[in-house]
Amino acid sequence: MSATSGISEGRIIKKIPGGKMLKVVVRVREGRIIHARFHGDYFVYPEEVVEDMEREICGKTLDEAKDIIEKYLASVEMVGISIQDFRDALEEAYEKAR
Amino acid sequence: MPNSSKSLRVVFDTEHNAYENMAIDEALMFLSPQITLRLYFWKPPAVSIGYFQSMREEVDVEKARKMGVDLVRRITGGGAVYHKHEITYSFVAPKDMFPGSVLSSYRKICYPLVLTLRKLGLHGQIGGVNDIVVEGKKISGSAQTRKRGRILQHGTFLMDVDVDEMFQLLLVPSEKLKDKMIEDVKKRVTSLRHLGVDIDREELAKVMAESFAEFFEMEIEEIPLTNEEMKLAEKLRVEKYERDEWNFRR
Repeated sequence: MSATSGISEGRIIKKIPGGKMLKVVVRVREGRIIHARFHGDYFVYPEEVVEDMEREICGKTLDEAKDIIEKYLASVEMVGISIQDFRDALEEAYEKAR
Repeated sequence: MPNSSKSLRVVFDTEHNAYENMAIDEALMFLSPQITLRLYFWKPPAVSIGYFQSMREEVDVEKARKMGVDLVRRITGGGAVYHKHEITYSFVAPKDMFPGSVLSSYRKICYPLVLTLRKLGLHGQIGGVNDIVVEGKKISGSAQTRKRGRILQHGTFLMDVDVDEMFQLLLVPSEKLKDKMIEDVKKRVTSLRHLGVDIDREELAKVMAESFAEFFEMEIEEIPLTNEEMKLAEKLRVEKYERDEWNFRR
């Protein structure tokens, strides 16, 4: 965790069963996520969905962000990763940022 | 796996830099009018990262520049790959050709690599999601994307591998565990040379093309890149793959 001007950052690296890696970076200010990136060697189709999701998460609380993940990923095909992996990893990174 | 169009376009390509290679694959995905296999090489060596990865988190960028290694982001997901002693394939087909899940299409498109190994006297099999393994060690990895009703799958096939050199470029989560990771990777990765197969790369390209044609029950039709494809590839190279806005965007 690091903190400057009320912004704190959390980073986690999570090894998904099956071998893929998910690396999450979040920045939080006053309980709201102001930046979220889900890096990793996973596959999501279409790929752009992840970036749209990251944009929509900005400005949201953790619970709202977890619902957004569900909304964006429920209808897309993924390989090597699940919705729960994204939700858990976000939560862990968020907790680190607090 | 029978196919009605019966003709497999094969582009026996040569060496290109990373930006050209990724641009040509994307151009073929959008423009090639038929099912297409392209076989190609990398010069200079390069690291490609998956669509969702961060270049600065995966690669020692300064070291790569000093070593003359190109750095490029792919339009496909998956992990970071050091491309040096390998042949690379790209396969373009309409999505309708693979009506099942993405995973099942991966396996079908990878399978000709198992046939290639068989022709070389090796027993390979599909391992994990998108790898081919021989004696439990990875020799090939593939990545796929789908756009505008078409599939592009590209992947490596290792002719040789230098894990120590690879880890001069790729960053690991913990410096403390780096030596152990390198030893682990050495145990989990192999190449044709390590398996005792000596074949020149043009010959290997032919064997791979024959394996794809055989598996999909099609006839090989050698058709080089068209002017239109080269023009689009050039545009994609200049406007996308050579740019930091693309390669360092995450």
